[in-house]
Amino acid sequence: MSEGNGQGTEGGAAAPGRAVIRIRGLTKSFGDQTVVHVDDLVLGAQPVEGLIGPNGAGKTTLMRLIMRSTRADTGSVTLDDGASEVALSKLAPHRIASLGVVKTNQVTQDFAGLTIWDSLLLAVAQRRDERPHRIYRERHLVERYGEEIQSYLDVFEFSEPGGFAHSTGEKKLLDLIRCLLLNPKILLLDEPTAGLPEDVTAQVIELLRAKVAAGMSVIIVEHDLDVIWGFSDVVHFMAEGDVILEGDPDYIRAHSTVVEKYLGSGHV
Amino acid sequence: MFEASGVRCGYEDIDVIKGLDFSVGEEVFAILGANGAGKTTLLSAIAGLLPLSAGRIRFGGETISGLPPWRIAAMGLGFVPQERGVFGDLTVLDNLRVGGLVARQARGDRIDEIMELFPALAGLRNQRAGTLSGGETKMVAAGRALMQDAKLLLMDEPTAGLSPLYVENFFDRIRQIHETKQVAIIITEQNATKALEVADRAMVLSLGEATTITDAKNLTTDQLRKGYQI
Repeated sequence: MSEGNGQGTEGGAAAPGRAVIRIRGLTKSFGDQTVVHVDDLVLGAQPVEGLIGPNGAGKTTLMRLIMRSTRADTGSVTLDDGASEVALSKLAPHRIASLGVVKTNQVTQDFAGLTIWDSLLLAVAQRRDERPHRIYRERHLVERYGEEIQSYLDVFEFSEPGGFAHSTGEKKLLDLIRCLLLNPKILLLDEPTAGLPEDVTAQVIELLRAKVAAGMSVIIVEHDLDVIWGFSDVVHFMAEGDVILEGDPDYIRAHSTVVEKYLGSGHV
Repeated sequence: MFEASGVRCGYEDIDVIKGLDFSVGEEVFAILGANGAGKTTLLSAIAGLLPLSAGRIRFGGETISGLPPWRIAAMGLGFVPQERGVFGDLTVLDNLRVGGLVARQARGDRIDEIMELFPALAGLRNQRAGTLSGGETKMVAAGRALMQDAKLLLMDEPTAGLSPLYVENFFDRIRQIHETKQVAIIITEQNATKALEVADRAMVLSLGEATTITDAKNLTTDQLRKGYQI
């Protein structure tokens, strides 16, 4: 159970209309190493929640357990929209995504055989078949999603969407756009700006702010502290597999445990 | 020590690097630039993982372009890739030992040095590298390259994904590694401010071409902006 300052985190109550993720008794071990053991945690009660912690704290594993791309040893994860509670921990990842819980990847995932444009269409294609000729058959999607896709491409200045993405940064942005095209209720972001230059990071955050203003919730794992302190409404601090502190950014950044285990004295 | 002349390389028929000439001496050399500038492509080509379509790369007085990657590594060129770069089925310790196969110094001493550089790895010695977090994986990849008796280390975004505490530590150690081990270092980094603090010289890449090569302390904001096209 975490310690908190209570500002904005009391009881994990969801804001009206905002769905939350409830985690209970969740554990995961690799060999004899327990990497996640979270007794009770609510994510998504606030519009933007940061999840920070030292390397190896279990942040990525926790995100993967929520999406069920890694299977938990014990415990449950549910999506609570105020009216009903759905057990995500019993669903396949694509079903979880269809309920509005979507995640970007820390290590860039790419569709090497697809052009930038086709790799984005794949996100909204009915048949999730990444062979180019299959996507070609779903050209009607362009009518429905073309404008939205083009608007994202314009934000990040992709000048040749008929070509292939080469750099890690480009692939990372496409991963984010694919998630946004699914119109998520809760977007989990695993280090979305690692490896991006400052100006592109600012573009990413500006885009996310607009989505949050329209009702989307964001849970973000990130080591870029300007992003965490400036963007999050509440920050969860994770260490050794559990969230041990939560509170608003000012509370977390000044906490001696966070300074000692994560920030170092250079960031105080 | 290192010299690239007329280097062009890329994927299929498209050159991402469009004719580069630069040399690196006994120094820390930073390569800066926007996403898609060609930084990773250039380092991959230097390490022998990508063929050149034109030009030549020389290292330690010999031409290395065209040689297989393992020959280039054995000549003392270490490579820390941007992502992954570890053997997932091997333990942390075995990953480091693999890097030490071409080292002259006793491997045990070298492993102790790596653990001192990345204390988080000490408790994970016997864990399979495939189960590590993203940040820990980066530490193992960097550690493995340091196990080698490298004369030149290529580091591709080594601090992306590392926690603030380790980022500070890592930049301090880059300078230390360079000075105590006489290792030249070529580093690509999005954190331009930090990279310029530890680098002797820097090259700004824009769409596969060098817009500036200068002493790190003389690099102006305008030169950086021009490279990043902002």
